[in-house]
Amino acid sequence: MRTAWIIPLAALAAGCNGKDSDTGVNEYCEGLTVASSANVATILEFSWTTPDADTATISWGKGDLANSFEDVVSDGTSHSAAILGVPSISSLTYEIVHASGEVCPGEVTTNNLPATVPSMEIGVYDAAQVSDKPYLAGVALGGQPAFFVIERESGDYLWYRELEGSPKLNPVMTFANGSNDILYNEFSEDRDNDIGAIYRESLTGESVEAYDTDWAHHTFEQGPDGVLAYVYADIREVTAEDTDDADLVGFTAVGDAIWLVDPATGAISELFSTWDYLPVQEGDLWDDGFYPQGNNWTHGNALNYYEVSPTTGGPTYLFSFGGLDVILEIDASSGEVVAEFSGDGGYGTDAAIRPAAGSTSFSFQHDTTWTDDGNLLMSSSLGVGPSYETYQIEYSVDYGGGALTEVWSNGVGEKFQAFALGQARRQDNGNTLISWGSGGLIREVTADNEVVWELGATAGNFFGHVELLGDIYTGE
Amino acid sequence: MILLAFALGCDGKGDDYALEPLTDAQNYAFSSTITADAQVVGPGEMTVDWSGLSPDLLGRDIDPATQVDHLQVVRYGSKTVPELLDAINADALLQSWVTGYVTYDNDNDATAASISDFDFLGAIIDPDAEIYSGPGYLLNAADDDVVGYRGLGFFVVDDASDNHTIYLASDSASLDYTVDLESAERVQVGEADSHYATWINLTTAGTGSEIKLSELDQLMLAWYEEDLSELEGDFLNLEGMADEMYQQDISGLAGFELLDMVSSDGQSFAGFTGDGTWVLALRCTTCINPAPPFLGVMEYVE
Repeated sequence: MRTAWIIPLAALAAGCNGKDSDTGVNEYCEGLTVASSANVATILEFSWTTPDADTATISWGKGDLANSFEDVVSDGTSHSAAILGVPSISSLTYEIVHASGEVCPGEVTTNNLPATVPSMEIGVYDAAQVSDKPYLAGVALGGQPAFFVIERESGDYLWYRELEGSPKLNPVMTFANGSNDILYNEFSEDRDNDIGAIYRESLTGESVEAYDTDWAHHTFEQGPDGVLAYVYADIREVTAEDTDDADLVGFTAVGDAIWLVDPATGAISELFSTWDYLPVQEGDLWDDGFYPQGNNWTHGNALNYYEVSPTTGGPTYLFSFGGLDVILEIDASSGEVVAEFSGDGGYGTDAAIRPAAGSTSFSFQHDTTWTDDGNLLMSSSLGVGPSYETYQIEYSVDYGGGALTEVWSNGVGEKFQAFALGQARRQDNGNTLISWGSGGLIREVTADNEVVWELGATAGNFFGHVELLGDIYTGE
Repeated sequence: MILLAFALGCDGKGDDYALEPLTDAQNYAFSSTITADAQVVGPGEMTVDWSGLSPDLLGRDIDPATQVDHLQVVRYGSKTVPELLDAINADALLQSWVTGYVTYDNDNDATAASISDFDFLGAIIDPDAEIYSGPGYLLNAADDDVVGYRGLGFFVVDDASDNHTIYLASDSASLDYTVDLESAERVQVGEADSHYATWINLTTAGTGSEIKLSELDQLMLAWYEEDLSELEGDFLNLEGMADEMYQQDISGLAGFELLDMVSSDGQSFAGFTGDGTWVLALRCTTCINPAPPFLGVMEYVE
């Protein structure tokens, strides 16, 4: 049974975009309105009153009554329900069955999906081998951007939210801890102003909270007690104390910092800055023009929180710097660097733990994560021009020996390219969810690299942050 | 009771339901092929020149300086230009084939730009690293105010070539098509208080492929003095030929009341007449193929 999804009655006013149902079938359901949500075609909203206090369930379907919805919100004689994931642009039949025995049947036509919601195609679905979370939640970018939740087997949309797009960028949407509210970030597509913000909204679009996150970019993470951590563009003029390269003194360089937002007060504080740990170097992206304010030094592109770090046993953040091929692990309380990892050609310090001989290196990494086994897993891209390739790699960490040993990889030799974004997330069953980001391709693969689920975006669309979801009603 | 449910619109116009849900049998037939020769350029820096893009891909007038608002170069790493053309003609381009793309916003009424002036989400590219031999490259031009691409071209890189200019011109690609407006069943209309059109039952596009209902974003209702054979003769200019035209954004909708449509000069649609030719089209303004997925010809019934 799905758990209750309570939404404000104010949100249940029937929209006039779709066709309301026949409301005259049974006088028991006084004032019954049934219609697609004004904002989301795949949400079917019911509202009605009864002469006496009652409770109800709703059966519904496309030509039948095969589906049951038991979480009608009843307040004596007033009742409402919001069924999520109904098929769009479809004629549906329903019956409201009350505990008193009264039945209110009807028919309704749901709205169409907006044309701006991108088309996606399921390439592979192996029911026996996919992990047990049936939905994919994430961000579609490229064309008109949108947040979405789709059913992985069919590719059907359960939920979506259209976005304004350029000049705003919203690459990360996730579910708030312990809730089906969404959290998402927003910043300038060209990184040329400080409009950064993190928003919390209900699935029906009501604003819950908004936090200013000046000079935010790329990503954010939910930390302990609801604290939000985001990547802050830390822009400074390079001094002789910042670098070993005298030629860089006087340049304006864009480093990165972790800034924390107290959800209770909105107060912002700095936890860590690259300027306090890494020497300024002319990394691979130094001259790419990504930031109008200065040279692209560190290019922080991933921030993930862990309650129990394999390095310290305590809470840490893994902070990835794609411009330097460096990953830092930061103590979540003190802001101290507790571990440093660097690709073979990376710009890490002497303290960096690097790939062992014989292990594939990493570069321009994205979405660096710890697996439950304490291994380091990431998306990585190596090569220039036609040899450029994106793959996923997992290392065991030998802290004492100072080496990363490759224990698993995927995609090497397949020539898929993520020229932006990319993810690799280990699932509970040992599979790995992989996104090639700008490549518009998502796969779930087994430990043996068998593709057991594949989702492709049509041309012009690609993926920001994505994650598997077990139940959209709980956001877990 | 389904028909009754359809009839009960929010505006209360439901007493005289005159328009049945649109059907596949009412849809016209359209087939098209985009052909193009791949231009050849040398690797590295190059100039993109669209000064010769007049008329546009569909033969419409265009000022390449002021009406080309955006250009895009897409690199398809493992695909040749013939393979790209096949995929475009089959509406089957996939993002996973893309190994890089850059865009150019023509804010200064230019007709040429260096590839190094293009960017990806604000990040500039190194032409020496990104323009290389092997892949097929697609170049397209778009206008904020006009549906579909205004220009389409393709190029490949040859390491031996000393040409460093790629031209996007009227003849960079051509669209050949056949259209049949005569054979489909007519959409019967008459005098009525309501002309609520719904596309909920459509399954097949005029091209014969599966119709993607969520891609429908524009409803066009137009009246012509011309007969069907004349419309077929200038099919891609249906907008320009219309003597009366009403357009409506229908993104997200399953149907729309035609009597609520308004022309660009503010005239409300007053109902169908028995003279001339009435055409109702459902369009996808973001699709490469300019042909409407659905187009039905109305037949006035006394």
